[in-house]
Amino acid sequence: MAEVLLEVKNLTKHFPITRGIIFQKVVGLNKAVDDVSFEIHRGETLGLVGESGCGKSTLGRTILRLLEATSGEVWFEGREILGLSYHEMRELRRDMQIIFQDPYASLNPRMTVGDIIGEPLLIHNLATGKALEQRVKELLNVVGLSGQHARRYPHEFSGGQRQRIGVARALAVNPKIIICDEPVSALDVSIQAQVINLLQDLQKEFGLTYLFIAHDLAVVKHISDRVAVMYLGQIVELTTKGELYDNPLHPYTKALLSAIPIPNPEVKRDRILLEGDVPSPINPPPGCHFHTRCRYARPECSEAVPEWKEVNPGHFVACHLVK
Amino acid sequence: MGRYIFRRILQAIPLLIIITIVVFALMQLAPGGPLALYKQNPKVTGEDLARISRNLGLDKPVPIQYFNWLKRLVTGDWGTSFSSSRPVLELIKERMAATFTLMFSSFVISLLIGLPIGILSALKRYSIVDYIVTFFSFFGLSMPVFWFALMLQLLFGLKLGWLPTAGMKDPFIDFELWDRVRHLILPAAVLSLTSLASWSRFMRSSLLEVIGQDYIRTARAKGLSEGKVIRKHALKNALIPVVTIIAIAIPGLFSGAVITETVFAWPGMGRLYFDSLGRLDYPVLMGVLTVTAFLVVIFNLVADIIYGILDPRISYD
Repeated sequence: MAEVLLEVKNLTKHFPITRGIIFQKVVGLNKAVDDVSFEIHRGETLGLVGESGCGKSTLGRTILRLLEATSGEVWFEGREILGLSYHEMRELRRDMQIIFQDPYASLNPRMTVGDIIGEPLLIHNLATGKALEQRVKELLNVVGLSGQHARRYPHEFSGGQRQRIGVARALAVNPKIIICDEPVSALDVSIQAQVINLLQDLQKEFGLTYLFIAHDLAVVKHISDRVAVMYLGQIVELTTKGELYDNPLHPYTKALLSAIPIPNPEVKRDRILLEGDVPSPINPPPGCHFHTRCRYARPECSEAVPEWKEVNPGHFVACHLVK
Repeated sequence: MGRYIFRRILQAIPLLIIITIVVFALMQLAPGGPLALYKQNPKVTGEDLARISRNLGLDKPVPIQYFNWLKRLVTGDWGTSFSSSRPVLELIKERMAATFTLMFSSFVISLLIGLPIGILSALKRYSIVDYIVTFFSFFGLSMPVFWFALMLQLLFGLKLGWLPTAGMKDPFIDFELWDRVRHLILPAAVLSLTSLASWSRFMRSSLLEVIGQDYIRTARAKGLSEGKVIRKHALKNALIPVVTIIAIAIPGLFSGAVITETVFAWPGMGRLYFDSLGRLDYPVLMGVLTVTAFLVVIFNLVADIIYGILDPRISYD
């Protein structure tokens, strides 16, 4: 197995809930990311799935310090980055990039595409003048756009094209890892496939490592090497793609997988329907967060937090029922 | 762009005509009438009144009066003042410089103070600075202009004796820069109060909205310094709506000038208007109102053009 590129240890992000007009006091905590640990190996794609609001995007942004973590550690190439100074972190952004979910809102409407893609090169002193222009053209070609597009503004492009611009922007600084924060969920299904294939081609060509955040299990299955399943701020299961889809252990993973549509009406199957809604992360249930909706829940599940254990080599799960 | 401006100017013509009709109708409805001034004079007989009325064309039906007035307006003959017997256009031209000096000073003050404090209070949202700026913005917005003007006169003019309350030298006779500036300070401060307060609020909310946008996060993810994120990405976008609002608000300074000029005896168009109102001097009133209408139409056009230049998403072709 390849070396570890990024390691996340006990990462926690709590948003304080405040009351009061002038003197604000904290009345609660939104535990968006709660004690999450995992590793990403060089060159792999780790898929991160979960329902809306489970903390996937917050996790991605906290790793990149677009949000400041409450506690925990993030190690990148042997360096702990949560403790880096503001200046050191800015330099590190050369190596760690992100592609955002919304291709419409994430591009500055007053900058030309060339400026948007070229800006990271300028601030990291990677290219200027003619070389910069050349590099922008190159990047546009890499993502399947034309060099002439550099002079246009984002609003002149379609959603899929705009996401390609976002990809080119992330790629500009030759990063080692790219966090893809639901990069295709805002796009049409036909366009989704194009962008995903583009991401896969780029990975092969430039040896990129991805943390791929999505709520679409089919998309994650297509692109990932390993998959982590997140529920209410915690990772409940993590293993290779094949193992997860063939031999899911956590009841939540089983329920998620049973919800993937099968494009064949003849196939009969048991759907595991989860009862109720996702509890609020502000006051998550005690013990195993999932016990309120788990059909196998036992008394111990509401008392003790399940241990994060490796049940098979490389197959991690947090559930009292899995021995 | 050239075609768009041309089209907008053509569109402004019917608008201006409608405005003049409304202004004219309002004047007709006003109590007193143009002859009220003469009626007070016991020496003027009924016969005299009929003659004056005939000379002024007041015996004709109202629509005819309107068209006669409009015809002369276009040809540059804006009529003669009832009270001073001087051509209206001449009176307005004479007063214009003073009014524009006042408007321009207030504009600059509002811009140089209002926008920076708006930016500051957005960047330090919910801090002490923000609360203080917010408090004074609402103070400025809710303060009656005439009362505030009187209080400033009382404080700086009478109690402290630092600044004159009125009586600027006629710039056409004796131009003295220091005298002008001293006289300008108080009225400009009063006139800029409302716009300064509201522009700082606009700036604050516009910048806050932009700072919450996804592309600001993108800029941070690129590795830009926070200062550059604000200057290059946030401010440039936040200024688009602010600039438009400011351009539209400029004619509002003119209407504010009516009160300010009157309180400070400033020899501008605003006071000319106020005085003419008391004397029922219709030709002057009509003239000043027409100038105001022109200003509103022109600055709306300016606002649209600026918007097109600043925002690449807007295209006028």
